[in-house]
Amino acid sequence: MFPRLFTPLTIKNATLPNRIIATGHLTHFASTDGLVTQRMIDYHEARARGGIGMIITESMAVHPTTAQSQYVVHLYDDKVLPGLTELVSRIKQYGTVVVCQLHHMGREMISVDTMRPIVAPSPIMDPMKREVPHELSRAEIKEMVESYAAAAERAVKAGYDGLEVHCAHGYLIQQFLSPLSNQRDDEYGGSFENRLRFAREVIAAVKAVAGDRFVGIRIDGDEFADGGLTMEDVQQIILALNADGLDYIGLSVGHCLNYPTIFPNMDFPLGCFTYLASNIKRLVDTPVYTSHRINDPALAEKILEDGHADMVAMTRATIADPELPIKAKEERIDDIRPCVACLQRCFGRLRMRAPISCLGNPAVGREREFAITPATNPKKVAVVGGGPGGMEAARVLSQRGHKVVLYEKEQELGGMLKLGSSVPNREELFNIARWQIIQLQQSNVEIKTGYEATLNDLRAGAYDAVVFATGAEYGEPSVVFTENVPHINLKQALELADDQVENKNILVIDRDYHNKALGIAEQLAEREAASVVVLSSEVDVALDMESINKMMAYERLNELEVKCLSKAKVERVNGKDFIVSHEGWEVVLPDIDLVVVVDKPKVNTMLAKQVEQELPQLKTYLVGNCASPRLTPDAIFDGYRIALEV
Amino acid sequence: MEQNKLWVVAENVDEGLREASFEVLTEVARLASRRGDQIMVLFCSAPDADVNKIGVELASYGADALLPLEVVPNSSRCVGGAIADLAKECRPDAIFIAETIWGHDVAAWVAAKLRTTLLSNCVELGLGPDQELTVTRHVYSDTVAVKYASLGEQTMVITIQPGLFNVKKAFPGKTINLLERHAAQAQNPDPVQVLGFIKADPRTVDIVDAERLVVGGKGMGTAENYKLIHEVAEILGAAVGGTRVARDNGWVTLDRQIGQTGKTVAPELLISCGVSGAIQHTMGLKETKCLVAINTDKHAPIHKLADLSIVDDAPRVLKEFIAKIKTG
Amino acid sequence: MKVVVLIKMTTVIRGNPNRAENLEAILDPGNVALDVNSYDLAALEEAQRLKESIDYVHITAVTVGPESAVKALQIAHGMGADELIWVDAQYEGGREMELAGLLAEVVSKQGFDLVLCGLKSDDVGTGLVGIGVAEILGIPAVTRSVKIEILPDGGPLQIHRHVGKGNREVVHCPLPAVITVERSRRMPRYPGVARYLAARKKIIRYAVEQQPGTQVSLRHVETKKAQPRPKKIFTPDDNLSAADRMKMIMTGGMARKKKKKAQSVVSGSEQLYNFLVKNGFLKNKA
Ligand SMILES: Cc1cc2nc3c(=O)[nH]c(=O)nc-3n(C[C@H](O)[C@H](O)[C@H](O)COP(=O)(O)OP(=O)(O)OC[C@H]3O[C@@H](n4cnc5c(N)ncnc54)[C@H](O)[C@@H]3O)c2cc1C
Ligand SMILES: Cc1cc2nc3c(=O)[nH]c(=O)nc-3n(C[C@H](O)[C@H](O)[C@H](O)COP(=O)(O)OP(=O)(O)OC[C@H]3O[C@@H](n4cnc5c(N)ncnc54)[C@H](O)[C@@H]3O)c2cc1C
Ligand SMILES: Cc1cc2nc3c(=O)[nH]c(=O)nc-3n(C[C@H](O)[C@H](O)[C@H](O)COP(=O)(O)O)c2cc1C
Ligand code: SF4
Repeated sequence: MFPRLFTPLTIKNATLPNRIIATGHLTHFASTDGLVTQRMIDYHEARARGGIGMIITESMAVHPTTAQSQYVVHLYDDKVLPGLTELVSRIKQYGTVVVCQLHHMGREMISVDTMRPIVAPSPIMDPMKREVPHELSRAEIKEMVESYAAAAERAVKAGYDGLEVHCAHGYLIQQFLSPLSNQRDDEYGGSFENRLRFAREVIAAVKAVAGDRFVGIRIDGDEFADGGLTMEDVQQIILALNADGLDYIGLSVGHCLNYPTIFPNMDFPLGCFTYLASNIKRLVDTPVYTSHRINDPALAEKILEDGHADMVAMTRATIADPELPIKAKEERIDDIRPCVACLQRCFGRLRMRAPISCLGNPAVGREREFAITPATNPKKVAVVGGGPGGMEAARVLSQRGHKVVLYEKEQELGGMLKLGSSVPNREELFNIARWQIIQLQQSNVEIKTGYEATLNDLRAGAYDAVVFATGAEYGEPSVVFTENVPHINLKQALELADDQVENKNILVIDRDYHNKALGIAEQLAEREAASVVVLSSEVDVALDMESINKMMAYERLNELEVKCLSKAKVERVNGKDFIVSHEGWEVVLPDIDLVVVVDKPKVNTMLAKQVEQELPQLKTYLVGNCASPRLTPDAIFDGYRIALEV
Repeated sequence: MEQNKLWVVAENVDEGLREASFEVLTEVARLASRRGDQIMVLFCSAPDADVNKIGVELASYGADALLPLEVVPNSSRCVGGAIADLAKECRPDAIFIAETIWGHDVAAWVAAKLRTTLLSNCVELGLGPDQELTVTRHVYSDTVAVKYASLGEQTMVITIQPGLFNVKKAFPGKTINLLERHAAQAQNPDPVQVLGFIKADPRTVDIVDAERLVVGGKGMGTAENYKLIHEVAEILGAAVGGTRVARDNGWVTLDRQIGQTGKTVAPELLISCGVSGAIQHTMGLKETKCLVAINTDKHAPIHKLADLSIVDDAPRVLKEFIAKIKTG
Repeated sequence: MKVVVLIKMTTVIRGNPNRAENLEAILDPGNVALDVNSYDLAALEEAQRLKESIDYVHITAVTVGPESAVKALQIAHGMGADELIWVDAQYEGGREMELAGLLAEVVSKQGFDLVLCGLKSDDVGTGLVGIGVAEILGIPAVTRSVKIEILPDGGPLQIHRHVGKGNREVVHCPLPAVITVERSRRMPRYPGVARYLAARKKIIRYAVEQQPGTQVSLRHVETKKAQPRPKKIFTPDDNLSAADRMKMIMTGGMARKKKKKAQSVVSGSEQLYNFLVKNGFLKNKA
């Protein structure tokens, strides 16, 4: 089915069994002393076992002046060698090629973890991190080049097949390349040749110690910043570096001025940056990889078939499902757990300085404890509720050999996610539920849809255990400012008829702090409400929403002219005019027709409580929103965890 | 004309020059700028063509000179003959033409008249160590690549596969040397006479070539309803296409699927019925000139791309439309 | 009418060449086979149809090549050719015009009214030989024929030629002429076994004193495994602002259209009808 995807590729002395690769991604599985942990080894081993062609391990610090967080590997110190050697040899067991990403962040970081001044080619503040860097002296540059080489040497010792010099994402090397961040007047700045010098020296130094290992780069194909490097500029850079000799070229995008592009969420069309690789591929014979939003083997195959690249990065796709390569090879396409580009648990958790996981795959980073093992004594289990939590519980329970009956009162499975994926640009979220549904249909779970479970069912079913995944519900709005204007909850807002929306002035109160207020606001604006205002008492509307999704949503809301008021409070209402205080100012929102109060939903534990009283001998578990109202990944995580416990 | 070492023969279409000619020009310009060569574009111009305007546009892609040709009769044989005569006189290094139907025929006549070979359907152009032109052709059904370099003694005649090179105005503001119209009267008028033209049958034409398309998606509901798509297509002289869901349901065959894993279409008119407009589908619609969307869901993404959005039940709309046509 | 059909054997690669590591693996003798050029089969089929439509057609099949080329003649005979000529010579790529010159000589010697040949070959596909023969003989040529008809009373041939997008052009062409044949929906007939086997005895062999020839001014640089060439791909123009480039990427290069809200409440079919009429896709019946 995928002939080109499963054609081996030889880079120097290493042969990739197929063209699927994972680009470097920080996992936060390293210890605070910068060492490789068992967790990191297990994580990568699972991916290698899944049949991936090449793994580029996470960006590792080449110098003590760089750290994204406390949990990065200190490649600048020999102490990492034992762990690193173990990591590499475990990955290689499966024939997977393994590459080390040599990394320095330059100014695109804060000094909280290193507690040293951050460094850069020029003392220009990073627009995102807002710290002014120390301008590297020529001696320090020399030292930096040497530390890249020393780090590379350690990677070679650890057994890596290849080395990747990280020239992308606005980090140190790109800071030298780009006129936006490099304003030096010595031989490292100014002309094209001078800006290129640092990259050249680093790559040459790395190649000098690489021996028979291959050396490639990852670079942004376009800076997407006015005054910065355009695609054409980058092509000249790549051609120059390639003329010095490169074994592969990886194309990427994103840096401080367009951060979301590094981690494209579901707003970005699939494969939207492949053109960058394609345009380089025309110019060089060196193998090229493309990345970003490639989550389907059919798309990957098409990219190879159309000649746009030699390797296809499916990074988050293989976070979400480490077995993607094997499943694709065996043509089990429907079994591939999709990455929905939500960023909630991978990048989202990095931002919270926590180790990564995945919305749909709770076993990420817990490969050992969350291995699905057959139950020692199979039970008969009822799962009540067919949302993401209940479906996950049912799926894993049945895989473990339990006999499962799944009750869902609505006609279709999917739970609240049906609503969750109905707001603009969240459609893809439902793909995870779709995958669960297909898995359940293939399993021997007895699925009862359109069937509301009652105490009697649970009593009569001779169950050994019941898993409640009955979710949460939206009740009366938690606040009503005036009787003059109707107030409705989120669910009601999602069910409004056109004439209730069109040409109406709508106020959305954010008391959920996640994406829902923005989601409904955008939907109402798209449906041609006259005006939509989102109001939050916090410093930001959607305060707790994952940051990239939030940035993208703000942009779309801006275009739709939805206004957001943070740190705001409704003081009083005159007729239909809302008077709002906002950081000491008073703002009047005139002639409001409708208020949507987006609350946290209330747990639906009615049946669980009944069972507790009436059937005390029955073992019960709570999963997802009915335990505590949270988000989809929490529900899936609960379901998986409970299924292992039963 | 003599200083123009690289010639590009551009092909006319109704609204101007063919996209593939710009692909060739962009790629040749890339080489020319590295070799310091001048490019001359030749094209068969209608007497009333605005050659100035065409020249300005061609210059921005990198052309240095423009030679309008007026060949009577303008069959590919006579055009090829006229170009070959000029080439014998001016001895360009190479003549490039997009490998279209017209382009191939003209190139073959040029090569035949110059008694040289034809490097047809080339996929790559480059420069050798001594800045000599190199071309790569794929042979044996695209499995083997053969690369040749010019020895510089003869004019090379090269056709280039369309759809490979991006077009780019890499030389905005460049000016062009507009040469005087070159009129050529063939000594032996071509005895082949063109009598007529038969349009492709929309029922069998490849959807990539179709000028009109009616496309159905999951929202058509049933195979029975999908027949309405065929009926409307029949009325409009259009071909039938489908989404992946339509294909999965067996309503259309794979060769009629539009989108990322299907085909990219370029019709004048496309009527999209019960299609949500998932990006994987709409990527295949990029070249559509006029889009009509019929979908019950007002918020379906397809409506955002449509020139006419009909928020209504697609099978019903089609049924009523057919009835209206039938009753007159 | 004397019809000469030019045919040849072509190299066919079997197996899955995508997976082959290198050129040697692709060209492994186990993977390489010889077959009659599919376009030439179409030309033979056309000749045969002419023979069936009028009763004074004589078909000569001519092939140029080494011993292995004889198989093409056997197939031609199987499909109904009357006379078989094998020119024992070999022309490598780049010398198509010399080959055309040789063929012109052979067909002239043979005598002909019509030369048919394939539009191009499956393996190297230069597509020059047919036009080359016409040029050297100074006779008319029609390319990409999908249908040839003989008009009554010794009139010209009427030919349907493929002109792209499935469209056809109808042309008239006087004889003698060269016609190159496109593959069409008409499947070439299956060669009869008896005639196939009987062919060898009928073959007339011409040995040609191969001339060194006028070398074409080309240097062969290399032959290697073909990598797929990148297809054209949507690329935003560098001259646009960064924000505009990003916008184009986000919409997959397709601009979202701003349009007025539908004001009328006419039915969907009415809207469709009016729109099609207004934009000239449909003639107003009313
Ligand atoms: C507008 C909106 C946007 C959202 N966006 C996001 C987002 O971007 N990211 C994210 O992570 N989350 C999002 N969510 C939240 C997400 O949908 C929920 O967190 C998730 O669905 C909770 O899953 P669950 O399985 O715990 O419960 P639910 O999905 O609520 O499932 C509970 C199911 O139990 C069924 N049920 C209840 N009682 C019975 C009974 N007695 N018998 C049978 N069946 C019963 C219900 O019918 C329901 O189907 C969003 C939600 C909304 C409304
Ligand atoms: C890697 C990859 C590649 C893909 N490649 C392709 C591809 O090449 N081509 C492709 O098409 N898809 C492709 N897809 C699938 C694509 O994502 C969508 O699933 C598909 O295009 C949806 O098809 P649809 O519009 O027919 O169905 P749906 O998305 O289910 O939409 C049906 C629409 O019909 C509307 N509707 C329902 N009833 C009616 C009615 N009575 N009247 C009018 N409207 C009605 C609904 O409102 C809905 O909008 C690909 C997916 C992936 C992951
Ligand atoms: C959690 C996470 C961490 C990442 N860390 C790195 C990194 O350390 N180095 C790097 O080059 N890219 C990093 N990236 C970017 C990825 O390599 C990749 O380019 C991005 O996820 C888009 O590709 P995808 O759509 O295939 O996932 C990271 C991405 C994620 C989601
Ligand atoms: S958390 Fe979301 S974005 Fe990250 S890998 Fe999982 S599905 Fe993809």
